[in-house]
Amino acid sequence: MTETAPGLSPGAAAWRRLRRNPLAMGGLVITVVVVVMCAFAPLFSGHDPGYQRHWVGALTPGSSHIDCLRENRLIPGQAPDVSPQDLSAATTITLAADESSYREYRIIPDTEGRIRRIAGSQGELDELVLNQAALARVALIDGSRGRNLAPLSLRRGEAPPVPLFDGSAAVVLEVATEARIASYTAQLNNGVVSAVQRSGTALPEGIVITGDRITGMEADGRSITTWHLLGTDIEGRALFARILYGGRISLLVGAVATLVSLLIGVTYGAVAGYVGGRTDRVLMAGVDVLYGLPFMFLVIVLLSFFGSNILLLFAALGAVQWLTMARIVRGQILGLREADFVAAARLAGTPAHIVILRHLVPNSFGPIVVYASLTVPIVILEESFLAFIGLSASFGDGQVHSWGALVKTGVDSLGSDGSFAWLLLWPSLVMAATLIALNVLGDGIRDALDPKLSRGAA
Amino acid sequence: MGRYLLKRLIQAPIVLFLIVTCSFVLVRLAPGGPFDAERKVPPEVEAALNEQYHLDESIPMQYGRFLLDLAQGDLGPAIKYPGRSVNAIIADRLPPTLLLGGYALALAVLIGVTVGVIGARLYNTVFDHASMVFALLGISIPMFVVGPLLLLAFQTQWRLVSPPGEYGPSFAYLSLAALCLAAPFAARIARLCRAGMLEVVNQDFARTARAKGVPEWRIVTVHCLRGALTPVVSFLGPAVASVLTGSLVVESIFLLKGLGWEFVFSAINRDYTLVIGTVIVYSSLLIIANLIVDLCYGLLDPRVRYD
Repeated sequence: MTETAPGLSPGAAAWRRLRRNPLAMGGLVITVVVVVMCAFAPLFSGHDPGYQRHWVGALTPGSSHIDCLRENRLIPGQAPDVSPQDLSAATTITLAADESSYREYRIIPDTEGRIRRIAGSQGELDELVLNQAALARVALIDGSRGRNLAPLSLRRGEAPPVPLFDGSAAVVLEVATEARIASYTAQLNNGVVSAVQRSGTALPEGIVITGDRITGMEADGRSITTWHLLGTDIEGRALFARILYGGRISLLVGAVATLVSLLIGVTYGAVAGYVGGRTDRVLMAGVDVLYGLPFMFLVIVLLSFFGSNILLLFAALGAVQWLTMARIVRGQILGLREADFVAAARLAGTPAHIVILRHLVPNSFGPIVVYASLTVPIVILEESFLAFIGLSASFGDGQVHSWGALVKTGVDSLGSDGSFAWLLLWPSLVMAATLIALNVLGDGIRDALDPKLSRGAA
Repeated sequence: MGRYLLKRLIQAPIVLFLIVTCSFVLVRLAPGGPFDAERKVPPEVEAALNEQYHLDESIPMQYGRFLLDLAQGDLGPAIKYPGRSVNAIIADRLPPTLLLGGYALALAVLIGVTVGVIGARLYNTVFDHASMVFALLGISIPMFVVGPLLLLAFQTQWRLVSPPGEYGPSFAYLSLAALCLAAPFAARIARLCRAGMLEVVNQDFARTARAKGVPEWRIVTVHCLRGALTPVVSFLGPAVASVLTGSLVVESIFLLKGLGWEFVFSAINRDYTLVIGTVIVYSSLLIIANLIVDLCYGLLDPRVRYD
């Protein structure tokens, strides 16, 4: 007997072909990086993706700000509650708080961008002079974006000397009538606040300050700040964290809905192909009829009438995608059914479901994997489409949204001058990069498993 | 051919009936009613409203009434638009959607086939690689990312188009929306067409034509294009469905108030009759489009047998 050369299993051969395809390997690397970063999101971003900081507003990528909470408490006998960071090791915490009182003026532009009205609490003004720097800040009507203004004067009928309106119908100018920055100091003992002072005076009850008033925070002389790789959105939520946690929804829906479609499609196609004859004709006629249904419209009706949750999303998107899978599997099994090894298995008395599961499905594995890998980006795209029209699942009390919803937020906050562009740019970029990577990888798997089919067919 | 057509024509109403029943059941099984979202109305007013729209009857009764009206082409009154019928709203909203969808489909075929054919003829050149990269981008980047960026560039920055006014959108604006909607389909068609073209350019009949001295452009357009178009045509059936779906977001991004915009609005506002009405219209469009595609398939490739 001669010894046979060790052959490569089809899987190993396909993996070798895939490894030689640089494009597909690039896709694989990007896919793995994105999946790992989203799955282990807390390791890559320390921020809570749902924590709103209205006083911070939208910050450009790379910005930092004082890392305080919405409500900051320094109360003797309790642990300091002023920052997401752990400050229990510090011995002193100092806070600077803006305790100025503000007067509000509503500035309304005309169609040419000149000032039409200056409305204060005491009535209409012709002129508003602000001669002290950093004492006036601009907010939109909803109070969402704040910024400080340099000294300036506004006159009715004239254009403001600095861009003020950003295309909005009116802005509110908050002018400090009495500027006062208070300084608070807390002494800590074993992680518990022991005494709180305000400019040297002891405050036995401690203090509670809202985040929008805090202008500085130090622990043992170290400034307590935090920074955001991709900035924050209009509600002051960390964009990078939102993209990572949102990716969990997008990727999860992509994977699970594909599995659902795989399960239905393979079962349906295998039964049709194996049983054949009349059953096959009826089952495949059913698929033909279903192909004519406007599935996405029914999914939209389903989600908007039943409320969207992630389980419904899995089922609905999986149910849209199984038809092609059923056709492919049925075609494969129809071809394999008459093969000798199947006849042998049947003659040996193997029950039908075992023949299908052990012999037929594994032998159609190639086309199944190819189609499944190309289905994942399609499902992610469909989910993002649903999220864009407001019909997707969310995690964490409705604060964490999938990529499609983040893109939608980016579109909605895009000013007429393209301000806040990073809110659209980064979610779009991450999503597009992931989809490109998955598509390239799917194409690569197809070329590797089925060299006949290659040459870049869609 | 005749028999096949007859079979499809019999099948169409069955599919439509399935869709109608499906959407009716979906809408009626859902918890809550159409008047839930508004501020609390007195019980007698709500009872009157329910009676007016026959919501107080049993579900089978409502279904029977609905089918009876539908058979007469009446889709009923729109719940959220007092005094207007669903038929009137659809007649109002359908033309912009058809215009946008048709325009986008035409653009997709035109761009896709041109790029695909040239890509195949210039196989493995810079043009071929560049066009396939663009095709990959077109397939992967969602149109709701492309749309706002197009608007930002053409409307806000360069002021080349203006938003739709009183008399509807300008041609340039509509073209921008159609381009946004067409991009992913143009990309897919380009890939299909390129692959189909590569399949046929070296076959015997093309070689024979070349040996006879037929000019290359004639070989491509007359002899090969037909074969290369077969996969494109079979893609067009599902593409019509996807164009209609994509039109939902494109209409909302470009502020074109068509049927897609109305459909999303009615689904979110639980306007029972309007939702079912729009789904029926979309399904009919889809069934007709699939029928046309099937027939074209036979015209392109006489080997296809209908049975």
